[in-house]
Amino acid sequence: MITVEMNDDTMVVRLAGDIDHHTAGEIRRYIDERAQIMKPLVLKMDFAAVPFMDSSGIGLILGRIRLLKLWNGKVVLMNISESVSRMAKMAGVFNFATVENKAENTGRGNYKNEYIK
Amino acid sequence: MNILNEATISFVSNSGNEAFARASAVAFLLSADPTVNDISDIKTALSEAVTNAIIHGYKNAKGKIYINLKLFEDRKLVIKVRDKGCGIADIKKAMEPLFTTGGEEQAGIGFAVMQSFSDSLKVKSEINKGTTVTIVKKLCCKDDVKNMTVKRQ
Ligand SMILES: Nc1ncnc2c1ncn2[C@@H]1O[C@H](COP(=O)(O)OP(=O)(O)O)[C@@H](O)[C@H]1O
Ligand SMILES: [Mg+2]
Repeated sequence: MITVEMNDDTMVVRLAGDIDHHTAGEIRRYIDERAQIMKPLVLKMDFAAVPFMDSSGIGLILGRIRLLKLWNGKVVLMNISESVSRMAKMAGVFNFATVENKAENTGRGNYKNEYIK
Repeated sequence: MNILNEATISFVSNSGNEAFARASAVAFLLSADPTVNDISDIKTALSEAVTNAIIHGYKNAKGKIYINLKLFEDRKLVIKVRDKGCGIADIKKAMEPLFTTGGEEQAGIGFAVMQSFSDSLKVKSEINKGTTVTIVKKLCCKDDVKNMTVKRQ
């Protein structure tokens, strides 16, 4: 479900599936176990394969920002949808994390379209 | 306004039922041919309310959660999420963005998200009796969306 890749000082975590309170705990443990050993300076969280996320995912992001801060690492959010971006704004996430979106990803709707069919 | 459709579901406060609640609401909505954005907003708002009932209302102990969905002729959707948990002492304070009693991993924006992803939000609560959250959203028509894009071109 989740995959992790380490390139130099950068850890890329590719998340997959719905992120809610039920799934967030397991994702948190998965990331933290690895990040605490590798201590990456950059943690990239890729949401390209996340069709749904509620504010539990924002808690997950804020918690990882806090963790990475322990060794002056930074969090980068990749391929977030419009609705995730709206929630992130509400929580002030963009004061602490930067965003990297692939040009071809229009955000909200991409996966949901497939989901409804 | 006449009711087009109504459904009530109840389930035990297992966190795995957060996904069940969202899927049930989507199944209920499909007859109204909702837009992708409306489905996404409703799933998010409902997920926030159900999660709150599980982690705050019942504090992760077992309890029952009730969801009532009503769809009206004017495409207004009314969702009520009720728990018989601990209740909220100060609703105004609880609804402030970033306020949380949930600790480190909670963002404290659940109520703000419910508000922003719907047209109106009402919270009724009584200590040791429980909490009812009412989310109202007028579904937009696919034709409305098409007309909007035609006009814009
Ligand atoms: N159903 C509920 N029962 C009891 N308390 C609740 C309920 N829903 C919300 N609360 C209280 O309101 C606060 C804010 O909720 P919310 O905005 O969803 O943020 P979060 O869930 O991240 O704490 C919670 O921390 C909790 O104290
Ligand atoms: Mg909440």
